[in-house]
Amino acid sequence: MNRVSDAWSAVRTVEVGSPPGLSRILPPLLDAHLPRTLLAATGVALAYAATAWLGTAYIFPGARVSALWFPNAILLAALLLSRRRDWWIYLALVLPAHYLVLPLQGSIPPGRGVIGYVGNCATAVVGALALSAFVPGIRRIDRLRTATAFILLAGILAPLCTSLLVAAAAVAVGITTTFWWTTVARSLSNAFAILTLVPLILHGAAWLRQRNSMIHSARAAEASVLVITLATLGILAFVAPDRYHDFSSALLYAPFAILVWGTVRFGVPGACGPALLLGVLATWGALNQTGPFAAHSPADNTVALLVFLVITSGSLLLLAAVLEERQSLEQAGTASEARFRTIFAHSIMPTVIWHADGRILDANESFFRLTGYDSADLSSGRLSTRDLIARAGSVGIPDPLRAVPDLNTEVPLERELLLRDGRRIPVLVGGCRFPGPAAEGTAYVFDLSSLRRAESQRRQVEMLHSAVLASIHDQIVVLDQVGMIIETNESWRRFAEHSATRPFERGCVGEHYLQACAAAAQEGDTVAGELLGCTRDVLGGVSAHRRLEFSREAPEGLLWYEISIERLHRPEGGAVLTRSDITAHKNAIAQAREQRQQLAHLGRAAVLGELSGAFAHELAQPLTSILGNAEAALELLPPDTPRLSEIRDMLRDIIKDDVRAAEVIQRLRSMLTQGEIQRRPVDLNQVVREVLSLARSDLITRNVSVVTQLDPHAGLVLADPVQLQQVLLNLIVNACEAMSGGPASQRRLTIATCPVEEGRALECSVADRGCGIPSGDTERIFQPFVTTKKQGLGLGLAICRSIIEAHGGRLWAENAADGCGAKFRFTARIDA
Amino acid sequence: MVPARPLVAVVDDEESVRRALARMLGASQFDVDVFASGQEFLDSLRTRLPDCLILDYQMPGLTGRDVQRRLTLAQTPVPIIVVTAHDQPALREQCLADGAIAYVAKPLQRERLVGLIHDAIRRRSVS
Repeated sequence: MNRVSDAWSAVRTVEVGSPPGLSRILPPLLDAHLPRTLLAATGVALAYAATAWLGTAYIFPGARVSALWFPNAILLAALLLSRRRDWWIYLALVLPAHYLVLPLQGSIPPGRGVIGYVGNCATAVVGALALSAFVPGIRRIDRLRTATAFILLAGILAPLCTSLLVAAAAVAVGITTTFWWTTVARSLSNAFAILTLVPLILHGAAWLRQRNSMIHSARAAEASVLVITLATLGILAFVAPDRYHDFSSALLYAPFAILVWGTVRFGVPGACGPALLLGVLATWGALNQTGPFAAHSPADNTVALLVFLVITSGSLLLLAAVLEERQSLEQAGTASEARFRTIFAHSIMPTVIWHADGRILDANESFFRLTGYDSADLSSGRLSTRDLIARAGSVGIPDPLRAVPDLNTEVPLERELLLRDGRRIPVLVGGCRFPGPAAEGTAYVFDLSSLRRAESQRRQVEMLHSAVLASIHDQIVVLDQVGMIIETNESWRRFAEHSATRPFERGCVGEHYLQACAAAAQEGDTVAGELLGCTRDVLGGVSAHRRLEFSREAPEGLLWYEISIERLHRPEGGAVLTRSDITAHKNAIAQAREQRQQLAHLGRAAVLGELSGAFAHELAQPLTSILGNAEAALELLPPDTPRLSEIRDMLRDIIKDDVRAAEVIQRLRSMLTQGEIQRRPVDLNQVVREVLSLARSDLITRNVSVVTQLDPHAGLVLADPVQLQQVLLNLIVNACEAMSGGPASQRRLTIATCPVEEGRALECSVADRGCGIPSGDTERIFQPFVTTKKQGLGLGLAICRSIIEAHGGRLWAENAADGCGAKFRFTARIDA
Repeated sequence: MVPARPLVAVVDDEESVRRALARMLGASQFDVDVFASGQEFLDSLRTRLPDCLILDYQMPGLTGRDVQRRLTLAQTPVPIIVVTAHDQPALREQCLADGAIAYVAKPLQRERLVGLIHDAIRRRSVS
């Protein structure tokens, strides 16, 4: 095949420079069907020759035309069965066959062979062309329309037209002088041959093409009987009529029954074959002056017979075509019905055949399975569309008064189906009426139960999904694969409505989130830019998860947010953005970090306390030396040396400062040494002075002026002086910090002592001119870990209150009456 | 005849402190012997017994307490004034219980120290 294709390609390239017309010849020569076509054409030529030889035995007297001329019919059949492009092969091979037979016809005038060949070919070609135009691709004559066209075009028109031309040519060349006789004779002989032989050949070829082309023995026997009977009758009627002279009339009409029998039982072959056989016998008889067609001259007899045969064969052919067409339709109908039944029976869709009065005439297995009924219920006639199908929610099924539902609907209807067990299920019902007068139709019943269940489950899942989304405190937005918002939760919508400050934070379903982020990024929003990049990474599959944090200034302070971007796990892709307020978390982290720092500081302080002894020792040693040297020098200096008086002053200063440093060390030692509470009578005023001395440098640094209003008649309190110092120092430090934000001129610290509780206790107050205590927090500030400072653990006041209460006193705070500052008071029991 | 000045022994591992106290006590009409360690002081007792002992408590080797105990065991009648940079109440009680006549925290003021020495010498002479 490849070699043929290559050759074909080579031919195509040759065609470019080939002379016109040659391209039409070359392809057929290289056709793959050529060998088969040549073989078929050779067979046709041989058949042509054989039948031409046979036809020489049936020459019309005086017409040089055969009464039974089958070659044209054979050629016509061959052309109908072959491709038009192969016709020239058949026509070419018939030529030698035609000339092979000519000598059998006696002396042949010049030109007769040509006229005969051309005429024969013309009859076949014209008939084939005409038929192909009206019935393209004719292979069988099994329709009334086909038979009619065949009879008129191939059987009558083609032979008549070509016979006219042949006769004219024959007369013109002097072959014959009887133009009309030649025309009629040739037309009739060709017509009979065409009407009988061509259908036989066509149907025979069609039978051979069938895969299972076998003849049933019964039909073969019947056909044999038919042929034998017809042959016998034909011989008796037309070949040897004299032997049964008394029955000659009956024998003449007897073949008609056979012909009809053959037509009815075997269709077109049964009509044409017997007609052909009968025609051969009758024509022989007519030409030989035997039989019923011997009243006139052989030529007249033959013409009359041929007319009779043409009419008879044409009629039988039409009858056979009608019968075959009817049979085809019946078979098609039967096959269609069988197919429908198969479809109906095996369809997974429950289907019924209904009558307009409500009866269910038939139902398939699917319907039985659905309803629980069976074929016995169907046969008993209990099944009715009125009883089984009703509107949803209707009562009283079955209800004999209810109208039969009209199932001839274009649009499926939602109804309820009553099952055998009494349950009602939702169904979709649709159907149509059958065409024709019968009030019947078909209907299908689609069970909606599973669909409804699935729908219900889907709704429940959706509701749960929505409820979960609505319940989540964090803001959630779902994006599709291109960044379009496809869903948001309630928290997101609330945030967008009330709290969003950026345009892309207000996105709603249907908006392009990435575009909003891109627009914001172009305007300089760095958060939007980072969010855009992270979202693109997740949507693009670069990363399955991204996270970013950002802060935002708000009236209530700095707010922190975290956005988590997760890939949406579905085939279409997408992403889920979750925005969480992590302000509290951040603050907790910061507070924990500060507490760690505070603890570290406390640890350092503890270490310092641990090392206080060492520090004090290291300081005390050089101070001891300084003091000793200074005092010794002072003693050694003569009292009356003028220049040395200054030195004496310096030494005195050294001594005083050294003593002062020693006092500081002593206080520091006392403050840092962890010891048990040692209560003793303590001058509270002196404690105030000592604390002020200790804090003197700090007060100077903070530009805080101090006013003391110490009651000179205040007695002694029973307390641990170190712990009292700690309380006072804490209150003084707090007061200084409260005033740190105000102008230096306003920073005044007032410490006062006075007797209270009818002299049973002393009260000490520390008042500042600072920012005061927030409203409602005068008690809260004494709770542990509560502080208004930017730094600090919030334990100082709690510890102070604990110390004072351990001494039997009270510690409380109040805002100044003029609203400027706060005052802390504590009491201590007087040592009675 | 010039009355002999009281002899005060100063035991302190810190040289600057020994020198300063020697100057201060010397200017205060005392004779001063300084010792860098407790052992050195105890060895000196074979030759000379001071009228008062200024004993530093925190010293390497023999601590002030060790010296105090050895003096008590040897029944050496030397008034001891314990001086220290670590002022701890428990330590004070302990030293006084071990026989010290005074426990003073550094830095030492001349007036107070001289007063304590005179008191110590007076008590000793009475006893």
